[in-house]
Amino acid sequence: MHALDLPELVAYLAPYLSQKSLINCIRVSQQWHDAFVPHLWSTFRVTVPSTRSLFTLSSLDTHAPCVRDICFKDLSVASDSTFFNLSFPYLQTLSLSFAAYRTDRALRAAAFEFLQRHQGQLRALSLLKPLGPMSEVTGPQTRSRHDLMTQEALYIAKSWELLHGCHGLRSLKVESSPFWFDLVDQQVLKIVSELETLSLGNVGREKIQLTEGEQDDSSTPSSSQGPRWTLCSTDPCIRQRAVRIRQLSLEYCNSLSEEYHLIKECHAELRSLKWLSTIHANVIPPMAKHLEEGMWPFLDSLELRIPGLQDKDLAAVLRAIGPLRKLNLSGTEFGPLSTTGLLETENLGQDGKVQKKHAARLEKLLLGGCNNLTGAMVQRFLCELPHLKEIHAKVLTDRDLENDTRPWVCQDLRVFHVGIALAVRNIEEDQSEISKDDSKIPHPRISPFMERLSALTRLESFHITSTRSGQDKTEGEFYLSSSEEQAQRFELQKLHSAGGLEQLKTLRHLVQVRMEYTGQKMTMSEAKWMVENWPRLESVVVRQLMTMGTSDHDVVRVFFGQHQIHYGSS
Amino acid sequence: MPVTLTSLDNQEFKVDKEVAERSILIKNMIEDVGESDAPIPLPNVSAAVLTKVIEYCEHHRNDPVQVQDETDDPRKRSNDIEEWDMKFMQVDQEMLFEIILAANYLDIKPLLDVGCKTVANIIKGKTPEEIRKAFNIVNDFTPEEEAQIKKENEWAEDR
Repeated sequence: MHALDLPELVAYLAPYLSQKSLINCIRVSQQWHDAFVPHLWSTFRVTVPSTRSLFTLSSLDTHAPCVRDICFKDLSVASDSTFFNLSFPYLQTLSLSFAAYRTDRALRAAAFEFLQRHQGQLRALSLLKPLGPMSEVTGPQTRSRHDLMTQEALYIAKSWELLHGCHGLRSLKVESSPFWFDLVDQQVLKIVSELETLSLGNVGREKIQLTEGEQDDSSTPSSSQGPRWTLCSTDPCIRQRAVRIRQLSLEYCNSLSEEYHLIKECHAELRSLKWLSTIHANVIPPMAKHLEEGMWPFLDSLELRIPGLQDKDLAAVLRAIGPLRKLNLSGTEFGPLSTTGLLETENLGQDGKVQKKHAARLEKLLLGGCNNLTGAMVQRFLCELPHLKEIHAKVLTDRDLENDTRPWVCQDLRVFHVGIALAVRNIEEDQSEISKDDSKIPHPRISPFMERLSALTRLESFHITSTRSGQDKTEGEFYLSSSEEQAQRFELQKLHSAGGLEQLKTLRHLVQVRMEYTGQKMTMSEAKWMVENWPRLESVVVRQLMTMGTSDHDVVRVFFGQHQIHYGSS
Repeated sequence: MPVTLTSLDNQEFKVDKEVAERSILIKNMIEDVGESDAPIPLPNVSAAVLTKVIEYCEHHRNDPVQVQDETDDPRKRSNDIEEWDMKFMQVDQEMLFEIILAANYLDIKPLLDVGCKTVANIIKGKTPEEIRKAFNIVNDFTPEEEAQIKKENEWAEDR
């Protein structure tokens, strides 16, 4: 009896194998072929049109019972409609996207019929890129926009009917549709109320008059109505079914008030919310107030980016929300008030004692592109969030480490994507430090970083970048002039002197390294050092604007290639 | 408090209850039988393999119960094996699969994970011929069969 004779063991092993590995396993022997083929065919992913020729319908038909997950991108009229004649008895996950303006009625009809045949099985469905008449190949432009929109509306209505039949559907993703999920519609609500995951991207807010002359006041643009933030609790349609969505993602849809309405519908079970928009919120959604009232009691993962939300608004949300596990406020106005809200809000812990609410749970903190974020705040995060596993932030300088000498408590940190910079001192000081550059020991101002990083032995990924504005804005210092910037670059380059990386040999779990300072070159001795000291390394990316010594670059790439390490420049 | 485990070849192993209970199968057996000195028979596990399994359980006796890491990625990672486990798994490939079988039978999920990750790491980056060498497998395909298999699965290479 061999382990591979047991299908359940093969099923246990298969998820650890990459697609490439699976393909190689299938070619090893008959036993391995039979054991692993179902797992290779379990996910059928076809993207580039040229791939179409690489499988035959008959082989797909033969392996159809193995297929659990289909992802078919860029469907176009060319030769794809025959695909929809096949049946996949165990299909659970389906993702379709149509190539814009290259579909036709026959393809759509075939796709519909395919969906209908698999209705009862589907647990997850993604419909990306418009499927409606608007994406059709049109001949001479005989159809008016109104006509097209009506067709589209009818088409969408038919789609809802179809989705109705998907009893087991738990996850739905729709992108690029002009029509919103109007929850007043019973059909929509019935489907949505069964879902656990809902993701809407670039879904619009259009209503079309289906009958001539009908005065539908919801056809007026929503901006003239003003925001409708309050839930109409007397409306029977809405009250009938509790929405059980746990994961909701709204990306760049076109109506903030409607989106917030949907978010409130998910008041019971929501665990994860992603809400991104480009629309400016003229009136701030009362999220903090509703949180205080006990809405979304299980929400512990939040990603938010709405233009118009100020630092104080974000702070209010952070004070009101339950203990967070994951927080992504990249590109927002996150600043000192939000920092206080995140780090100092208190609640009662499980042992009945008062504790810092978010510090008790926060594992992922993403604050890339936040212009109000200072190094001092980042240093606080590293010193006050013991469960932190991942951090993305723009800047941390040596001055921040001097001003706040507490140790980093986040011993479990896996991902460190923070721009490290040297604070600007006065120019003379910097110049004199540059001149004594020949020592092999790391520059004293880099060393504190390296020392602290070296203690994070579980680190798997780090990005070190040099940033232009490495100083505390509130102190009124200037941005770096070009000579200062050069001085800073020069200092960071010392990381690559023989002693520079030495302190980091404790990071034996490191998988991915990204070092971006212009002008820095990777040498063979560094490459060898990395391979020797970072045994799990898989990827090294450096920023190289200067390509002098190109042959050195290639030699390093070949060397890394031999160790299956990807080496590239960004 | 020690329990006695008996291997396929009737060898007896005395281990602490806490160590033995890393195996959910054994844990359930003990619960069912209640307080008893009777040895627990493991007819599917040879002495050599059981020795290794016990070594693993002893080393990991104080590990917390594994919580499912909440990631959306069904594709699991294999590059995070602990150093001790890596050394522990440096055995010949026959023993490697025996350990996996035993971990499956005894229901010791962390050991099963480590075993599968180890196998995945051996397979990673190897051509079919190199995989055959690593696991002592004979190629029983005819050249025509090999060509057909390659062709049939070509679509998967484009990712």
